[in-house]
Amino acid sequence: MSSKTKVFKATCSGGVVKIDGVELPGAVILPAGQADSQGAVLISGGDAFYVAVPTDTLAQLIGLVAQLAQTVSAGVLPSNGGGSITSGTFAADLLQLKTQLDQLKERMQ
Amino acid sequence: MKFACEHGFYTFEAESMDDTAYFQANTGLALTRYGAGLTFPFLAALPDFSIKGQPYGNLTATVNYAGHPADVMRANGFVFDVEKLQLVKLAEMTKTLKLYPQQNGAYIALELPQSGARYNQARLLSFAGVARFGNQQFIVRTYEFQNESI
Repeated sequence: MSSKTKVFKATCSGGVVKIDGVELPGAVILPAGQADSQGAVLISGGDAFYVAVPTDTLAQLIGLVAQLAQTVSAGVLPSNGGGSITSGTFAADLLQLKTQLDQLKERMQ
Repeated sequence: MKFACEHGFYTFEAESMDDTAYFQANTGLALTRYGAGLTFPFLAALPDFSIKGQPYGNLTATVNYAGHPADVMRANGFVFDVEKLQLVKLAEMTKTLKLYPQQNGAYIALELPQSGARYNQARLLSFAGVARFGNQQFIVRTYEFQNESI
């Protein structure tokens, strides 16, 4: 008995995988985050696997990293005559970014 | 004309130019090009995957499967009914075969054998052979029986 592997664009929401709006029962969702996602389904012989392509998560992560770079760039002073070399809001800004990263990790696709 | 049936998926190969015409005249069944050979138009249109609960041909697929339509049909338990020209469930195939065993191990049928039909206590699932229209014989040389007595 031969088999082949077919690949389809798919979505996953609430643990339900769909191809073009049609539910695919029995698909194994490969480990990833719990948030809704878009990705691909591979049907190989009698097995079906869903793999998320976390485009939104990656985009948000890149955005936060960019903010982090900006915060460090703006918050670290070249010198301050013996005083603190970080801006007054530096610690708070970093903490806010950390919170956003933790939240992103929680809702990762 | 050579014929082969794999899990209910029929294919044919003309050995001479008029084989296809003779086949149609003898059986009343039309064939269409399928790769390097021929098959029934209904089978040629079957997709190479099934999704459980979704239509596959005229039936509803019972499993997810990707592969040659013959293997998709086997995985789902379907065969092609040459009389109805559509898929039927193997378990619901009630036809019996009239085969004439030969000394060399081959069987002779007087019509195109129906995949899934019963012969003695077994179902004929896959087979291959050659049609001799002059004698109105289908000579089955290789075959796979599913023994239902086990």
